Amino acid sequence: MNSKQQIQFNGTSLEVDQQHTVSSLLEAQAVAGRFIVVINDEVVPKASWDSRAIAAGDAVEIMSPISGG
Amino acid sequence: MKQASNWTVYGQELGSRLFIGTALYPSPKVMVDAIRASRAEVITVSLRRQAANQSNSGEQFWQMIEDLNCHLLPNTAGCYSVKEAVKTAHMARELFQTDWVKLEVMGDSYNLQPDPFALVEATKILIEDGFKVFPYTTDDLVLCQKLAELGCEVLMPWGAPIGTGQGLLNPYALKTLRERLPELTLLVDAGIGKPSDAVQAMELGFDGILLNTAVAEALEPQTMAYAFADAINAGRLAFEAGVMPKRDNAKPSTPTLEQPIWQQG
Repeated sequence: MNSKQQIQFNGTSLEVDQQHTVSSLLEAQAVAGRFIVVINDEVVPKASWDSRAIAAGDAVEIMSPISGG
Repeated sequence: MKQASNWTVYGQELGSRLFIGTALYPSPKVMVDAIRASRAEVITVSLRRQAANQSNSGEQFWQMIEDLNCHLLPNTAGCYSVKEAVKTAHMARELFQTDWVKLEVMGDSYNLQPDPFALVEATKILIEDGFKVFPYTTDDLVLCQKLAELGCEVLMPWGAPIGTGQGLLNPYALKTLRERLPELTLLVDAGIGKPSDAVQAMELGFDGILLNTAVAEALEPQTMAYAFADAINAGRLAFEAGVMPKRDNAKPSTPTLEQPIWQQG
């Protein structure tokens, strides 16, 4: 059984497996559409999603396009 | 209808001199219809964190703006610090795949006035990071000169606070900017309420107009978009044609030479 860790996901606390990469976290949270991933205020390039491990305490934000003036 | 000359923004040649926002429309369809009617080639967009219960938010909006086939100008709306604005710009570059950024760093929540000191600092950082910065600024001449010295090719002074529709509150300041910064591309951004406001700015020699609320909150946004497109073109044509100087004294427009003798003296 995987041990768990606490992260912040889009501003709310979330308990996730310790083994997550960005890619597996996105899949587990069913994130879809046009978006980018920001962890601890840093943009994570798509090329790194498979390798970037999620660590305890990470603040993960999914940013999407919206209308603007 | 004769169209005003093309122009160039950070190396990108454009026909339309209207940049239009994508916010505040009563429906997505109205937005699309209005933007098409405006003939704008640049649209402003933004980004936000997905809500916890919306795992695919943004996809519908993305499809619509892709179909419009316009250049995207992401903004940093809602930022009140250099750090926030720089972070948002970097996120926008990754999300929208463009170096263009409409840099907004607000200093006051009452009138959404840009913070001039933070704006200069953020502009410096973003230019060093390779961005093509479109700063939303006040009409302060010295501030605009500083932004130009940093490498901005485009400046976007306000006509009036965002969303107020007050028109050009300080035409003198805008005219001074045009005269003192002849090489810069200048757009009036914010405060435009009606097409005649846009005409006034274009007749002053501004290169373009950025607006959103005036179209989105019109009773008929699509029709208003047509009106702004024509007005901006008319204003630019008038500037290119050269407006006659004002005089204090009347001058007859009908020639008096060769009039019958009994009408003279």
